[in-house]
Amino acid sequence: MLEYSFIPVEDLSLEQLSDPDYAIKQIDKININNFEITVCSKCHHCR
Amino acid sequence: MVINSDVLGDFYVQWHITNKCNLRCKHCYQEDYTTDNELSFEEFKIVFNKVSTTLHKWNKLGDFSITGGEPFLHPQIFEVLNIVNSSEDVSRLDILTNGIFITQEIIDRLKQFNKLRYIQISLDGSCPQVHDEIRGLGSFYKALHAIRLLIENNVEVRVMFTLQHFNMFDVPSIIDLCIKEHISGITIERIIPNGDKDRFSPEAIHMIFKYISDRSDEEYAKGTALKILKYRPLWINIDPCRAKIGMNTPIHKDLGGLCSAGLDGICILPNADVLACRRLPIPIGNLQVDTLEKIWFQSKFLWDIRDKTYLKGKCHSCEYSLRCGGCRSMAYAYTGDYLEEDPHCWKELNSNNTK
Repeated sequence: MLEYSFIPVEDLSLEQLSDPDYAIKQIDKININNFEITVCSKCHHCR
Repeated sequence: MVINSDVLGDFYVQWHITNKCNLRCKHCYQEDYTTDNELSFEEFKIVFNKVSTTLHKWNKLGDFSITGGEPFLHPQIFEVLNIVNSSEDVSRLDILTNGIFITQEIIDRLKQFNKLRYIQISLDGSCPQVHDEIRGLGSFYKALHAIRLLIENNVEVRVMFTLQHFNMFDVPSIIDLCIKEHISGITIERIIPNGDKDRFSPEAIHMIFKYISDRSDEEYAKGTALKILKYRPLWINIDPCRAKIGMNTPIHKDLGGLCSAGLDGICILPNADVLACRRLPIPIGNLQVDTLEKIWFQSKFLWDIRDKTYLKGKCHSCEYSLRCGGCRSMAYAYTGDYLEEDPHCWKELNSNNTK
């Protein structure tokens, strides 16, 4: 296993530090190909 | 906004409550089968409370999968399930198991959990000759017995089939078996290779995925209840039109999906280490030490994989990256770089797609 690291809060925006859906909303914003955005957790599982 | 409503409402937690397992499957990614570093039940409750408090703050409901190792080997499995089921911050609960310990008595106890949506049983072959070779002698009929008992008791069953060289020709038969046994859904997922063994070519994966997709369409047309689930990277390559907004493609025919890693879920190990995905052995924090908020908002690894412009190779310039993005754990297993292209992708890039 590798070691983990955190980004200092001062390097992140308020939205990045407070909205758990920030990343997927950013993906939706640049969705020029008009795909319905979905993720694999809708079916499961990586077991 | 065209984000599937499930994605924004729920937060997926795959919690491996124990490393202990009665099987030693050939493709298993675990190295440790001991209970040495597992949380005690008291510690589990503290960590669970930490997670549920954060979900509450985020206005999200937890979608929990309890697994292991083999979860039914955890000495307090029912207490664990009760904690999860009783939380107002949890909407759904599943159990991922090899099925071997499921008895009528266990099922009767499981019936108290009103949020239990289904039991997922791992079946890596449609017969003992295939399944037992991967999972151990006698395991096929025990798993099949569990499936039948659960279905007799009106408990929904899904199957997970890990695609590897040894069972690739058994894909048609496992689908036949699932239909015959009234299983509600099957996920056929690529093995994460350990070393050079079980590496597939893109052509082989294309051939297998195309068969599964065609078979899924055929079964849907016949009205078969079995859902062959294909919400994973690469599947969109079969037919991108089905992923477009407004197509209202039924679940049986829907193709593709981003990996949930970094977007709407986490994986927790028995010692409270957190991974973005169980198959990607890169810890991003530990919930005994760090808060879920710190891990989710500040993990460098998570921000790396969230930004699809960081992806390399074919994935970098692919027009499907917002509905695919490749499997980061597959890229890591093949290259040691989790941002590399998915090594199984068979898509040819258009001439104007340059790096």
